Amino acid sequence: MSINPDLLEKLRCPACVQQSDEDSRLDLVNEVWLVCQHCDRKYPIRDDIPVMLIDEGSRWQSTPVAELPAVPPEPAV
Amino acid sequence: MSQPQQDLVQRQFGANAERYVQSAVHAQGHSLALMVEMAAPRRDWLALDVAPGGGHSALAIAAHVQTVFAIDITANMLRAARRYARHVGQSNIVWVQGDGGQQPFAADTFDLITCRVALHHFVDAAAALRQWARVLKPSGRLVLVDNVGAEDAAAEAYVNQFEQLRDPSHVWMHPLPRLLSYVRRAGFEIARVERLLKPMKFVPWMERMQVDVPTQEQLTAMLWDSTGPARRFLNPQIVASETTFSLHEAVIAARLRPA
Repeated sequence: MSINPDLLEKLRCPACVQQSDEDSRLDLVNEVWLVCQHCDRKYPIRDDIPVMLIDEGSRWQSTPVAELPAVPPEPAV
Repeated sequence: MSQPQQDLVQRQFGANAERYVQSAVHAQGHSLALMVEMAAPRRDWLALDVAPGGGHSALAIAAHVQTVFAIDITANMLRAARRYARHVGQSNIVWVQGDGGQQPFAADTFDLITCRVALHHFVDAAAALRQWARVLKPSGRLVLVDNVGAEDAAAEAYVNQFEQLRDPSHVWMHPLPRLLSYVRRAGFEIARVERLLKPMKFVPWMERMQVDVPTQEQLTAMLWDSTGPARRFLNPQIVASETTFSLHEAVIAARLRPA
């Protein structure tokens, strides 16, 4: 992931940030996932582009961090 | 933005991404320079460009600020825009796939938000503007460029149907007074408004969206069968054997009202 950490810090979970700037912070996991500290939605970083779509984050919400793919798969067309 | 609308935009623009990168209307339109002028960007600013499409608006701002976040719903469009940005050597743009109406950013983050010729794809333009107000710093500035609709109600509907026939992801071009009221109600005060006439070449306009032949025929009929205020608004002409018509664009500069 080539985004400057200071800039990455500006990103929030789009679902949770509507309620709180704090309870929507994201952890960078394995360089290619952004995991919401509050709701556990997981947003993939594909080809260095964070995919901050609520539906995409929800898709991985129940997947344990340890089981996240090392390379986020492309969405089904 | 609703899921069906997200899907529509991704389908329409994902399939036509490179055409938008190459489009002279989008790369060079007068509103691009005016957008930068009205933004009065500064070197230390963090900017957000919403729905950059081919990336031209993000690139124009990136040349004047520290960093631009460019957020677009369509992955293919982002990748095409990023390729173009790399090609021209601009490296201070962070590309993010997301819904411009559900901003994935903390409040009070940006000094400047720009959005050029995209708000008419948002199902709820007023809600999107409120989101932008949320992520702007208290002194933050918004420069909104969009096509605007006719102020006559029947013509407004006719021209929007004409646009929707060409591009199903087109939601609604609002007349300028309504757009300004949305901007104000989202918490902004208007600093400056410019209205531009945008002459369009009819065939390239259709080709950017790869409309099929029956739809081209319907669009041609709608253009030439238009009457009254819609006709005056679209103003179809034949210029040097080429069909042209007019779109109307507004550039709105606004600041967040002090709390």
